[in-house]
Amino acid sequence: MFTYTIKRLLQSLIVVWAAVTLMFALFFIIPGDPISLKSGEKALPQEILDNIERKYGLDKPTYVQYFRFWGNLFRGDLGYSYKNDKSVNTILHDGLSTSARLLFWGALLQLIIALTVGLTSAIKRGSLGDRIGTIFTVGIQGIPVFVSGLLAQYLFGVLPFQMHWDWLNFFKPWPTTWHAGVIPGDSWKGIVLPALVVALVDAAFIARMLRSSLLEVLRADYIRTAFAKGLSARRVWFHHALRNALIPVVTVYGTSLIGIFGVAVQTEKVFSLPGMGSTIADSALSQDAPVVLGLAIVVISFGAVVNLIVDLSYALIDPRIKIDSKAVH
Amino acid sequence: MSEIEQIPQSLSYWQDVRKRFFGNKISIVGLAMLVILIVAGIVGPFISGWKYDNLGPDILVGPGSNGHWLGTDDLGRDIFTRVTFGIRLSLTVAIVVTAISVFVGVTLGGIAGYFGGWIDTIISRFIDTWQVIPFVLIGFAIITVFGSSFWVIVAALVLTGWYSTTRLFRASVMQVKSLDYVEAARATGASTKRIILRHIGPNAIPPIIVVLAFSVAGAILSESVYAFLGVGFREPTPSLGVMISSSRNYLTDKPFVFFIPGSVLVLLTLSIVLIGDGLRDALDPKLRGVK
Repeated sequence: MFTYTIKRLLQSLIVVWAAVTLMFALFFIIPGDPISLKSGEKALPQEILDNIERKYGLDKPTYVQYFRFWGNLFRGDLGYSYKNDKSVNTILHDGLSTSARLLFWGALLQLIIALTVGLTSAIKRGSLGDRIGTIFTVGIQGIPVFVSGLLAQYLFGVLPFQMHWDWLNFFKPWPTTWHAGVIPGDSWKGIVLPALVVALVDAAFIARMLRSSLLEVLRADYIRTAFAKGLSARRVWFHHALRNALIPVVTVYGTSLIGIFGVAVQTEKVFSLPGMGSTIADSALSQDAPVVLGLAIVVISFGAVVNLIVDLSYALIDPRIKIDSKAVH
Repeated sequence: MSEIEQIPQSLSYWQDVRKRFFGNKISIVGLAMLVILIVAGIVGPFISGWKYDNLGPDILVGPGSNGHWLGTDDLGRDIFTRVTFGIRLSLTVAIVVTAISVFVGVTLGGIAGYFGGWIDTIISRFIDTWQVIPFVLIGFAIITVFGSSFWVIVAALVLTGWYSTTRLFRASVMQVKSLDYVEAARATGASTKRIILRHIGPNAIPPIIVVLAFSVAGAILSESVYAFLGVGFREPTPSLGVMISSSRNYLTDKPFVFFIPGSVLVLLTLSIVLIGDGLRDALDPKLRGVK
């Protein structure tokens, strides 16, 4: 297990390096420069242009810029925005606290909804609840995140406001403090809608996966044996069935966590939240390469860590999986 | 003479698939929805009497007024024409993107899965790397540099979608490869080409069909996301994502401007997801005969 962990860890580091390099290539080699961002349409004298180039190190060849970028990164310096010269570290810090809270509550809600819906519809297979659950989970897969976000705003913001149903109005400002989400005052209402929008799409997918995976496990002989031995239904469900059904679910949950940033971008745009997603989207549109790259490093590392955890957790959930690189694939 | 026993008619695999697909109410609903939307997409722009970029004097009028069946948007353009044109655009983009992604997926995934070894390692590690980059960033980079023309958007969508099909085909080829009949074919001296085309190929087709359906739905969604974020099609191109994006300001007063393109987009993807679901069940030989 130890060697496998180390090996897998090294692989993740290589993946992060390669992905960051790819992003560097995408945003630095192709156009997009501080000069046009600052001057706009106005023509500037050559001296000023040269000065700006020198200031951002753009007069150096690309490979020098690349190595300098990594050097600064190891010193914890992500560089400065082309647009307003703000430190990318500050921009990252501002965006991260919003996004982290959004994604934390989103991922938690996702897990709760997926487990509840998936388990109940598998246990009570064919019941009314199961049918409603199936329609709900299939239906949600067709709804893009930004549409469900706008729909949520309409149903829990616009409509209650026009009808004066104040209790239904969840369209509240996003709380700015950390404890606001954890210790519910009134400000928790601002988190509910965005977090729910983040959670729903993949929650439906995971719930369906869990249901079908549980139903498949339940056909296995050892489940019949467990019931025949006289074990309680609860014990069979949670000890025998769930653990075996979890393996595909962990994969799907991991994939969904890696993709959750794409969901965050849309959610933050729809709800106008000042998170990393909306910052990255705006910076990419204005070709503010240092900001995009600085924030992307965090997102990429997060994805690599999730991948690593998913791979390692297979071994914990299923001892049958042999830990050598051949069997893991 | 003794009574002749009733022998149930024996069905071939594909006959059985067809029977099970059409016996499934949910997939029929999906198919019907899709057919209606496709017909609307084909004939809609011709019969509405308006052009999708015709600016008119009637701004934000509700459905049914002044000859606008579904009303007009903030620039006085006919929503029905724009929405039906949007269906056409979404489906065209999605089909082209899916065709290319599946081609890439089958080729790369097939090579990685069949040959294994260092080719497989390179392709797999590349997928690992690609996967951790958020898909919106790849699209952003490409579209901000090359503009938002049809083929650039197609390329961006292929680049965000190719790895999932590749990974899937790699896994399915690896699984089929180790089966006994492939071993048997190899033992009889069949060539690599023959094994791939005649033995592995036909068995890899059912998963490909399911993937086709889901990646069409996925491409429609991604295209609309790009358009919504401002990096896909732009005004005045009537993409459903563009329409939804510009409807945001009228959510309070004129919600129909959001609800019409929004529900068309949802129904379009939903119908394809439902068909894909039905196909997956119908094509699964393990579920054969299960009621």
